Amino acid sequence: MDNIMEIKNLCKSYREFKLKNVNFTLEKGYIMGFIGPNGAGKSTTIKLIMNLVKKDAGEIKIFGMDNLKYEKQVKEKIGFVYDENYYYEELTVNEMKRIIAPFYKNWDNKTFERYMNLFDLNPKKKIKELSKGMKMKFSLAVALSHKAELIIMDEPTSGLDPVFRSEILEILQSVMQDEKMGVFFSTHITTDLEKIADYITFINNGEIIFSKPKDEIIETYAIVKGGRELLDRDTRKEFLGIRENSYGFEALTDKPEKMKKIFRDNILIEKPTLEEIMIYTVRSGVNA
Amino acid sequence: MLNLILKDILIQKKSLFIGFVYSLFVFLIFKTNTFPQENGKFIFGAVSIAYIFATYSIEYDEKNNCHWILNSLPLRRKEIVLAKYISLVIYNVIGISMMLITGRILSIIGFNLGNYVVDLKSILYVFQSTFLAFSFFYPIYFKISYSKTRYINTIVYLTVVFLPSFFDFLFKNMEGISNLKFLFEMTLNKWDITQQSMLLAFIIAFTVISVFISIRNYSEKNF
Repeated sequence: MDNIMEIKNLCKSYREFKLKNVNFTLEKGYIMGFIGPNGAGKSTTIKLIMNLVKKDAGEIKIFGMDNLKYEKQVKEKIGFVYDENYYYEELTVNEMKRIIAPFYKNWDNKTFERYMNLFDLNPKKKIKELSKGMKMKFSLAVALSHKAELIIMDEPTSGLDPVFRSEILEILQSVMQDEKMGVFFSTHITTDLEKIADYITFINNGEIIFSKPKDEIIETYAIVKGGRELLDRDTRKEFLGIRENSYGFEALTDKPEKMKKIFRDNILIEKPTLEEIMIYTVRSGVNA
Repeated sequence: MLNLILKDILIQKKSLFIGFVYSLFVFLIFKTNTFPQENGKFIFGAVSIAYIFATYSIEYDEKNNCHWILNSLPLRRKEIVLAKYISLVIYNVIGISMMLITGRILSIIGFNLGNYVVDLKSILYVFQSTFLAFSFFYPIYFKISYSKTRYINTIVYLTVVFLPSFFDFLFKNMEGISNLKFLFEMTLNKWDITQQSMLLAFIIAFTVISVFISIRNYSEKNF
């Protein structure tokens, strides 16, 4: 079994938001970026995986096991990092570690100490005295110290400066040398994923737009640039999203070859960034 | 589950100090006849200290939103619920021990604490009071967040602690209810094995029902 996480037809309804038939799979040895604008359903999906909220329908399997039926076994193998600190602020780093460690059968104190040194974390410091970046590093140290095989991270880099973000991404890349592991990383900072992700799952308005290898996405989509005179009712329909200004237009397409045929040499075709794919798709409201 | 109970003690080292100060306060401020029960001060102090510990453990969890962490650890929700009930036993032991130790220290250094002998009935009274109060409160707490239920906790505590005083006041000021008054004093101050067993059985049954409701409520909770 190479899939470490399988989500099938996952649904959850709130009064003003619905997660609709979410499907995706994460294979062993890969980092999956989970992108989408704020309120798209990223945190809800993660909460459902962690059984922090109850699903309405669907199936979540981690290492082939149902996440509810085998909750304890599944959570033994998951390391989690959330966007906020949810540890006891009044305790020191060491006290908090002493509380957390006994919950895991495979807790490895040597690994924890190694990360403490690597992250320059003072074990005697109270958690409330740590900066946001240091709190995140502490969470990451905990997540990596019990031989977890799936690391789930909910917006771990939001609110961090570029240096901290870069450090966290480097650590993730280095732990991924262990091919038994998988990382599920939700973020709206898509540049982070361009550096480290193998797969991208894009969610918008509670629906999965795509879940594909990053390279395939970059190959599939393209940014088309040209003069406004090229746009008419028919050509507009060919794009997933368009941004116009007085000089011309920029648009997202998932059919670059067709664009070349239609517009010939009158357009420029460029590789899109994940951010551009996200922005154009969200703005257009198109669910490809 | 033992880890969860230890966690609740570890996160509130401050409460040990607060409990000690509180026990001093109870012994030095209240008069012997403030409460209708024999050993009223002892019972009030021990119940209050246990209440402080139980309430602070909830408040620390809420303040730091630690339910996210607890529910992400390899734990089942029912273990989190059961740990809160089992912790109550420890909080009672802490409350009783603090009152005993402080009382002993005050006696040694010369304070007159009146006729003060802690017996099994007083100790049972402490356990019964806290389990009655929290068996009522926990199912509500595990359903709704603490910030919305804080006042219910306070009301339940005050009711359990001061209800005997209220009845005492009532009986002293009302004629023609001597049978009820007799029963009240029996319950409060006489050791009747049948009556005690019935009361104990009722509180155990109430606690068991409360545990089941709390587990159901917490299992269905969304964070």
